[in-house]
Amino acid sequence: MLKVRDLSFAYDGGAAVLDNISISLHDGELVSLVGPSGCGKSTVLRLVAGLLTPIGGEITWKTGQAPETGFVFQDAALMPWADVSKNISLPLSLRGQALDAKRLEETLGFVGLKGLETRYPQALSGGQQMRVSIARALAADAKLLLMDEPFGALDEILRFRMNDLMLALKAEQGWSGLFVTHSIYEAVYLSDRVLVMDAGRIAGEVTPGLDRTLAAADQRASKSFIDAARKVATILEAGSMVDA
Amino acid sequence: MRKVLLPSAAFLLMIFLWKVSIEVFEIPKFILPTPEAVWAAFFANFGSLVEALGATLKVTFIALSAAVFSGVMLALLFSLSRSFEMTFYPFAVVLQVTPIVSVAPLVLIWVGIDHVDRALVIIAWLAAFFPILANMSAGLRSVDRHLDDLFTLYGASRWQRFWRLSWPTAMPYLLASLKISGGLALIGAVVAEFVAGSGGATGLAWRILEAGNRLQVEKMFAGLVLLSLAGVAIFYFFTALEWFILRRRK
Repeated sequence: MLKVRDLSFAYDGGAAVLDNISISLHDGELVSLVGPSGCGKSTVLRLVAGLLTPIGGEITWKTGQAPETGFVFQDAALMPWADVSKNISLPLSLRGQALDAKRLEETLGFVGLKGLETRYPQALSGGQQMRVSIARALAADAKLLLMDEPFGALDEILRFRMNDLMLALKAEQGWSGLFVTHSIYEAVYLSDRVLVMDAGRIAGEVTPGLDRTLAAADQRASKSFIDAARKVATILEAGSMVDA
Repeated sequence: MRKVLLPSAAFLLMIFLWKVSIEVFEIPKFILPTPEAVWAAFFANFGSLVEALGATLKVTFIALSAAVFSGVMLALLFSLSRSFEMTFYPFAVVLQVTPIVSVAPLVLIWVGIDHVDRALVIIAWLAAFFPILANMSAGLRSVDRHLDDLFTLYGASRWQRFWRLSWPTAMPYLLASLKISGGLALIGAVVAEFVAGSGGATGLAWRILEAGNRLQVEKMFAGLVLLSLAGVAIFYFFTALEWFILRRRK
């Protein structure tokens, strides 16, 4: 899907936020970036999305150009003046296309919001708003999903549900994703690979290898899960040591 | 219900105290007329007062429309160019902080000798303009950063970004400023009429001034009541407009 080579970034005249980091993301893979605040996780997403320009390194795409990309932020970032259907169809409508009724219903069905298309964001719960945000990212048939702590503001129970929703959506639709989170457990549960970041560098990589045939609770209680979480925590505690 | 009952009760109590005070303290009618006298003067002069109110409201709404148009346009230019904003915003502040009463005579000399109406509109515009500019500028600057990123990610044109993101974001700010500027435009129109005096103004302020010169205090009160009612009506009109346009965002 994409290769990031020796990527560096600094804000005008400031210290380096990212220092020669390299990341690869394969088709259908979900990779988490986990690390302390200010380590550059979100900057990676913004560079990949083209919202920032790197000062060094390059981002190359398997197909030669960036695929259809969706972005989910920590806050739902919905338009309060538009109903659910208009929020979801934003990516298409900005290109002069319409989201047909069938696709809208399908997308609402994916995120469990059927029947709420005429509601306005203020009439939705925090979890429902985040589902709209995810639906918007997926509505234009995104092949790459960039998620910047999308569930950071939700309570733990809702966060578990949203994690399961993301896994179900990914299994069904096959998109690739880069997922930024502060939560080691969320990163391990969701990801094919976890990249641990520290001070603008990749400090280590962990492959959880969870058995997805198990129930959600069993996956979270499995040895693979606990071992992977321990490895991530160990890398984080060691600071910038590059070791997995 | 309490929202209506409490101010209504306070109003009735105020009328009662007004009436009782006149009787108890034996206040002469040329200083403070009785509520009944004001009521009678209101109906006796209803035609001329309403006609004068119409002239004042005409100036108010022309000035307010001009303030909305110029305030919104200038705010848009400010949002497009930070340098433009840094250059001209201080001039807008000067317009705001200079007392309107001190500017009004100059405007009347420059513009009002042949066209008093134009001078009145300019003075009322000066009073109403700044809140719209300031609020609209703040509104255009308060676009959600993440929504702005999404519009970039999805390749929005400059027009789409304005019409579908900046404008609806700024709408609550603009509507709030209308509630302030509506009243200020009325105050500006009244100040302008007072300053213009008998120089051709035909509005309600001129009627109040004229009644004062003739010591018709009850007619002055009737004019003031009508002016207050007009101010309240303007405020609640824009409050209702704000509620209607933003009702789904609440």
